[in-house]
Amino acid sequence: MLSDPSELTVSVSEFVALLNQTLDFAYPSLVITGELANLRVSKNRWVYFDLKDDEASVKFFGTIYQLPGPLEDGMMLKVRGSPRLHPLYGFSVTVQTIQPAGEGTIRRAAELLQRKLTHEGLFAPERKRPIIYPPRRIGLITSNKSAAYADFTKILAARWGGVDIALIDVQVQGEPAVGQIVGAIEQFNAQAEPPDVVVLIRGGGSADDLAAFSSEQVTRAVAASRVPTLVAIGHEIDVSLAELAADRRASTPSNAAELLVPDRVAILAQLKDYGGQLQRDVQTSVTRSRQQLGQYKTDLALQADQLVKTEVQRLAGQQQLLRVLNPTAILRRGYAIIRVEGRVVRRAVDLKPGVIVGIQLADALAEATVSNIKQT
Amino acid sequence: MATTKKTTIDYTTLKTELDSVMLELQREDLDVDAALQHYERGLELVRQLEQYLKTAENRVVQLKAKFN
Repeated sequence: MLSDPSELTVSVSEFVALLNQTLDFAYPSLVITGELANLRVSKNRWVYFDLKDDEASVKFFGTIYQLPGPLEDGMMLKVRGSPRLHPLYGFSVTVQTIQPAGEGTIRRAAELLQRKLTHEGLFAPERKRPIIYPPRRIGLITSNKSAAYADFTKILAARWGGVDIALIDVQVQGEPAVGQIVGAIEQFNAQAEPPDVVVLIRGGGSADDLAAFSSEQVTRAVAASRVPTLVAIGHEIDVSLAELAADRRASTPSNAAELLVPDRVAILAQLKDYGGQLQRDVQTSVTRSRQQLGQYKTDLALQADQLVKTEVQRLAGQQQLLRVLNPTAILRRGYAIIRVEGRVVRRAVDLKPGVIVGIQLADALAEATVSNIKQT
Repeated sequence: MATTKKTTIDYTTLKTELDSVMLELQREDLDVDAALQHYERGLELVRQLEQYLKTAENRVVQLKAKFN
């Protein structure tokens, strides 16, 4: 190593190599914040842009896979990258990650991304799938040190027992958040026995803190999950894109737990209610049947009475007719029955002068001899 | 059950017979002796039917008492 750098003479290639070596040693990776300008995409793969502030401008180079979503000039970005001097094209920062910075930019980036993904149909209501209620196994993605995690598990346990929670601990903000969340969603989906639902939660925070949940990668991973998804970010004003892509969203992690499982106390109260209702229904039914039966009994007795009465009347009628038809009744009116040797005489040929005939009157029997026959 | 059925058939038989006896009695060419026989049979049938109905009335009363 030479003691005095001012004596150093190198070739252009050596200079580029030396400078890159120095940069690599001094700044292997750093985050630069600035306003986006001159954004362009080449061959649908390479991304070139500048970041600038009031006094300076720096060139950046990356791939479209590193974009958090659609961007436009004027946005504030936080870009992690490594500065490099290219042998032909000069100085640029090679991009590692890009994050929107500042509330306005984050909102604008989310708007642009939302428009694009809406157009693709990622948020369409017909894509929403039902979530098994209650699930037996939950794939939970959050930070295990967060209040969101504590709230979710506490509410879940208080409402319903026996749900298996598999946690993948991730950072929910900062640069690694997007990669870790996407990885966790993919990991749950790749399991031999995937959970019934993937739940992605975090508590509230600034727009910056919540940026990962509106990133294109996380939103797409949520939409692509084969396992139904529930996303709950505890903030009030904006809805993150991941929530829009999820099968179901909840307003807070506690609300997520409430949506996933029923409240056993409420269920027990409801069952008790059903029990009471059932008992009342049965009682009503028995009472109604008893009243009906009473009516039947009355009707039956009436019918039996009526039947007998009708028959008695009919019989009385016949009896009266029979009395009228009584052949001996006619004798009381002055008629007589004439018999010869016990046989009734109907015509003149049955009689001869000198024959003894029997005469039956209403109250007596008499005998007489025929003296004369005159046909009429 | 069998008893009830038998009684029913008996009642119906008696009733049918009485009806035909009444018809016979109303025939114009009826012999007086035959008429007397029919009349006698008719009276007997009426007696039996009356008895039956009396029994039936009693049974209805009994059954009502049993179920009230």
